Formats: sequence, C-alpha cells, structure tokens
Amino acid sequence: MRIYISAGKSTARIANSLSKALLGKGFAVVPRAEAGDDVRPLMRDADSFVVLVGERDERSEWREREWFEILEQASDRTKNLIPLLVGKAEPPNFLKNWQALRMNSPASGKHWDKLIETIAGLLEAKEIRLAIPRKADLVARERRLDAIEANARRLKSLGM
Amino acid sequence: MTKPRSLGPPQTPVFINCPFDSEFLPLFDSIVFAAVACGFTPRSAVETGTVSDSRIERICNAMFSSRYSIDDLSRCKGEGDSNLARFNMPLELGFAMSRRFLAKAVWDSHDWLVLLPEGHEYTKFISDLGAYDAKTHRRTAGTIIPPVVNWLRTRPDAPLAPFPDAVIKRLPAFQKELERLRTKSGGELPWSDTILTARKHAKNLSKRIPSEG
Repeated sequence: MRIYISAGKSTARIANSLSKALLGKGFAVVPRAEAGDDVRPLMRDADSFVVLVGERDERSEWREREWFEILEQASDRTKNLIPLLVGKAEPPNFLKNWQALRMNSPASGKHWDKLIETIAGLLEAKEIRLAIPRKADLVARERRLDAIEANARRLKSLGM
Repeated sequence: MTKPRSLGPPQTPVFINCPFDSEFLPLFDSIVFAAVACGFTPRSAVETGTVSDSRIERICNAMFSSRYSIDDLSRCKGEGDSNLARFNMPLELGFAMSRRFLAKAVWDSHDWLVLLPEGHEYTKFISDLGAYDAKTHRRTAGTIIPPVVNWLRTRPDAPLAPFPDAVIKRLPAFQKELERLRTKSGGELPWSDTILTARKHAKNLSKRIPSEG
C-alpha cells in the first residue's frame, strides 16, 4: 500500500519520521511533492493519505493545490485520508469530514510508537473514519447559507 | 465602467465564467448548486439580466467583486459551418488573471479554477495554462461537481461542506425545481431566484455532512 504524506514547513520533520516509521511497517511511501511539481501523478499513485496539520502552518498557494488534489482522490472515500493534528493545531474545515488523530508528544518514544501502530492499523484495515460535525461548524455553515440567501433577497428587491 | 456591485463579504462570491447555451445549462446549474452547497455566492454575467450595461461591463462588475472564479473553456473549439471557436471564456479568464496579478493585498486577491471537457487540447493553443492544473470533465454533472466542490472546500474561507457525491445526489431535485420555475416564468429565471432555489436545496445537504452521499 502506497501512502502520501502531506506536510507544511512546521511539520516536515515529523513527516520524515512518519515516513521512516511507515516504511518500517512495510508500507510504501510516495515521495512528497515539492513546490512547482505536478502533484497529480503522485496523488493518483497513492492508495491513502496522511495530512499533517501543524500549529504554525501557513497556507500557501502550493499547499492549497496539494490539498485540492488529495481531496480529488479521497473525497469519494475510495482512498483513505487521515488528518494528523500536531499539538493544539485545529484542522481546516475541509479536513473536518474525517476523524483526526492528534499528536501531543515528540516523534519518538512510547507515545510515538503507539501513534504509528494506530495509523498503520487504520491504513491496513482501509478503515475510513468519518467525523461527526461539531455543532459550531454546522452553525457557521448555516450562517454562510443565510448570508447567501440575504444577498439573493437583496438582488431580488433590485429586480435582478 | 460603473462601480463593481458588491454581493456580501468579498471573500464569498465566486464568479462563474461558463458558456450560456441550452447545451451547457445543466452543467452551469450544477456549478451554481455546488458553489452554494459549499457556502459561496455564485455570480455571473447573467445576474443583471438585460439591463443597459454591456456584457463586458456586467462581467467585470461581477468578477471584480468576487474573490474566486470558475472558468469553463468548453466552447473553445471550431463549431458550425465556418468552424469558428468562441473565445469569450479565455478572454474572461484573462480578466480573472489580471485581477489576481494586479491585487495589492491578499484580501483583494483572486483565484480561479479552470475546467475543460475531456480531450480538450488547450495546451496546444493556450500553453501558458499548462501550469494551472486545469480539471477535466466528461460534460456531466457527476464529473464537473467533484472538482468544483473539492476546489472550493480548500479555499481559506470555506465553511464545512458536504462531500461531492452528496451534492450530486441532491442536484436532480434542485434542477427539477429550476425547470418548473423557468417554465412558470416563461424561460428565463431571475438570478436571485436561481440562488434562492439553490440555497433551499443546500439546506438539506447540511444534514448529510459528512455522512455517505
């Protein structure tokens, strides 16, 4: 099974440790794309994705392209996606449809080994764990839809 | 040119730059529905109907007050006896690109998604687009909705959104109601009614997040 690990600058080291650990468990790891690469062939090659989210991660055009291509492969749930939150990082909204794992300790030692076991188990079982949405996120979504409706009603009042 | 007409917070409107013909209409409706389902306000050159603004003014008004645009280049191939292609869409994509490169701040930036029908040889005549990962579709709602949903979901200001298959599943009910409203209004439907209908059906989708489509 081939795994693609997505990481930002702040989580690149953890991604390397995770890559080594998964190789040690018998998984193949698809090389991480560099900015400017055509990411699509890499994503097509992967059977599953682990997406790291760090507390200090910054969005970039490149990272958004990578995420978009991951969703293109994983959003029909034929491929697994595991969000891995580092420290107190919060997932971006598009990752909230999947249950995330959280990593609170360094990439070594007892907790790390346990985390690797958990990730390997989920990947092997091809278990896609979807999340139950938080009420606050559903409320925020409804607010956005309400704003769209209010805009449309304003247009309607202008005869458009 | 008249001042761009704002439609809500600047980050939420998405300009839809697609062919306006009966053949493309089901796909256009699919993109509109996908945008609303993801929490974005669709904008289009047709939103002001046939008011006195020229088409190009209407496009610029809508695009320049949008943070995003979705550009489908389906009609850029020879058609009819003269084998002429329509180049409005690439021209308008050029506007979207200039909007981005002229932006002085991140909040004023502009981003776009390019859609193409499968087999389109666009790189042969707009090779510069090769760097922008255009997405292909098979001229069906089932193949055009996933890239639209997945792209919008990964924008920085996207709220929680359903999976593409849930949007595809809900689409026929939206299209059926649009068809009924269009018949009732004699063919053309005000843009506001299209959005309101999409919003009504998108509400039902909220109950399906993130469960199977």
